[in-house]
Amino acid sequence: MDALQGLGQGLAEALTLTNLFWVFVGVAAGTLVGVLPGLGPPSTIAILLPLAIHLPPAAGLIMMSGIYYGAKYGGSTTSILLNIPGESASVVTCIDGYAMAKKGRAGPALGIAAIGSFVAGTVGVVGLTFLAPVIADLALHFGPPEYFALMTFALTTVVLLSGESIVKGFISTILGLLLATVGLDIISGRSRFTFGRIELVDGVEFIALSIGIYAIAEVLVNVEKQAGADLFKVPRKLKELLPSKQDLLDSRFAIAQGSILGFFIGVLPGAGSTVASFLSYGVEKRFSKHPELFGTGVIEGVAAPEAANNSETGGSMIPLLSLGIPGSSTTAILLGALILYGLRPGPLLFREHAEVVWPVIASMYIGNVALLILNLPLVPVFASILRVPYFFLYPGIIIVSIVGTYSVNQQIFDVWLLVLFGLLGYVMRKLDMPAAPLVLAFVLGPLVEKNLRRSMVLSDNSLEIFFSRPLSLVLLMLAALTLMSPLFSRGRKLRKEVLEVDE
Amino acid sequence: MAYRIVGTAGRPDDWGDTLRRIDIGIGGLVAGFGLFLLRQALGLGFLDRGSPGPGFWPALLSGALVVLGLVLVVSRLAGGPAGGDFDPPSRSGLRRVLGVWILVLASTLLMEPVGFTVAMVLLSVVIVLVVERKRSVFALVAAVALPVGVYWLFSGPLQVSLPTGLFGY
Repeated sequence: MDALQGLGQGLAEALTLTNLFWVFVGVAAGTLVGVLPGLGPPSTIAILLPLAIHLPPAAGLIMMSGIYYGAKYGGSTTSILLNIPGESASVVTCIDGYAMAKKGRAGPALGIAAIGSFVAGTVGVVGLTFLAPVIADLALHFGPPEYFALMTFALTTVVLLSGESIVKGFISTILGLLLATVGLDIISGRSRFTFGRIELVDGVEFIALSIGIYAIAEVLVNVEKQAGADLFKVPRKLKELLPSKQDLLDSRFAIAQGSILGFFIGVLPGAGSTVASFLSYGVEKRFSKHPELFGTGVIEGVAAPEAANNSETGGSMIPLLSLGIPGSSTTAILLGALILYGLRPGPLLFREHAEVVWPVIASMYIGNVALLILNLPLVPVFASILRVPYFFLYPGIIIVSIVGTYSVNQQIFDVWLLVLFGLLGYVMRKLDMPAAPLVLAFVLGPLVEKNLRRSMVLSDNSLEIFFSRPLSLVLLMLAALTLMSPLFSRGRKLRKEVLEVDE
Repeated sequence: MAYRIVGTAGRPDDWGDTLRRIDIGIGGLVAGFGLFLLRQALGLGFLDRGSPGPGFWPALLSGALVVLGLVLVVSRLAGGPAGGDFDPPSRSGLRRVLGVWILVLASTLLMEPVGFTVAMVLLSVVIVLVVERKRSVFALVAAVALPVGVYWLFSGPLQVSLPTGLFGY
């Protein structure tokens, strides 16, 4: 069955009233739960799996696709409104999204997140439909050296997130990488930097780190300034609560770039939407005419990572459906669901169970539309949360942050970490040390180390392995160019600032 | 045609000196912390039967931290521009920050003995009535309703088990 024919049959199956109902239920449930910090797509799907498993395979998988998209969009809502990242992929949206909210542009930020998610999600699903076999083959060429090189490239984009001080940006990155080493070493089984605490054997909890560094630190900064009631300006007119034509025009390249980059990153098992969103933000800033405006609330800074985050969904389905390899924790749960239904993901899945696979792919198109229909009209409702006076809002932010952090592992130690990281985040803000590199490095650190050590074992401790493989070499060269790019732009800026013609 | 040096950031020199001294302090602290971690990492084992051991990666990172800390110190001592902005807190601002932070710390301490709801109600009531000085019936009701609502949402529909402590909720 060719792709178009399969898709046509899949759409016919997915567009039944029952399956449409389950798509909308999935998107709604995913959005509502995704808004809550600590409960991202993997947790949401895991919570609803017992319900979905009682449905017929196509309906159950269709509902879970809806949850996946909904949860991703929900995570970006709190990132934009409250600087609380709902999951790791939402962290980078906090940078410009929250800055836009403080300038009274929360509505356009939420709107462009919804529209960008829709466009990019559609691109991702189109890519999944037509490119799955080709792309799956490419993904097989990625071994430990290529993964190490890709993660190194992603880490070097922190240079672009460092602001004025690149040295402080690198310090922040190294601190993040070091925090990621806390816990059991997966290769030798020895515990590292746990200082005798059993709670640290599994490492530092990501949600405690990210919410502490972002949300709690932001609260402390605003408390210091006695922000009072007027922290956020929220427009009253409806047209100011949605993206304008100019906003859509300004975002078009960011959405296009994020869609393509997110899709290809999603194909790589383990790379994930966090890498996709950070890379997309870094690339957008690098090629922007006004990179200095990133971080102050520019719409491209929201559009690019949100597009990448959603396009990655389509890409991550390719290794799952074509090779039976889950690319992320969410697709690992989906793999479990497929097995529970008696389906075996792999090269034969499309041939043996086309009647399940194509409706699932078709439902992803429908899920994208449902996401836009449900969430775009709700943008003014979400934005109105910011009308709550700040002296009421911030105790709410603290309480939701605490309960969200506790809910992950149900241990009080994580809340202690949240409080500690909150203070660290505040101190870093006051000392002008950027937080984004620390958080990115924390997420990527285990992947970097694992692939470095595996590569060293494969090559008998020779570094040549990274330079003798073409993909790895290209990625390392891109990383080197990214590292050097500030020197060029700084040189131009220095010449402009330091010299003045006197006549 | 003549050229005049304007300066890299246009800030007064004494502000630049303050930033420079702060950065030297940060650099020293970072380098010292890196040395401490390097010692711990080497104790884990740099190599393990000829392959990278559990201390390999942390040792490389700690070494990098020491180097970066020293780079920061040296670059500032050499008179390099202190980039970025430093926004010093006022005394009253710092008191408010520490006050709120200590309140959050105390409520975390109380969560297991007295339960999530009571600990969070105490936190929000003290913040609204004492820190923010909003002393109205509406403020008090809102401060109590919020944590109760959050407890209901997470322990009910979302089935997250929260500490209940002495009072059972």
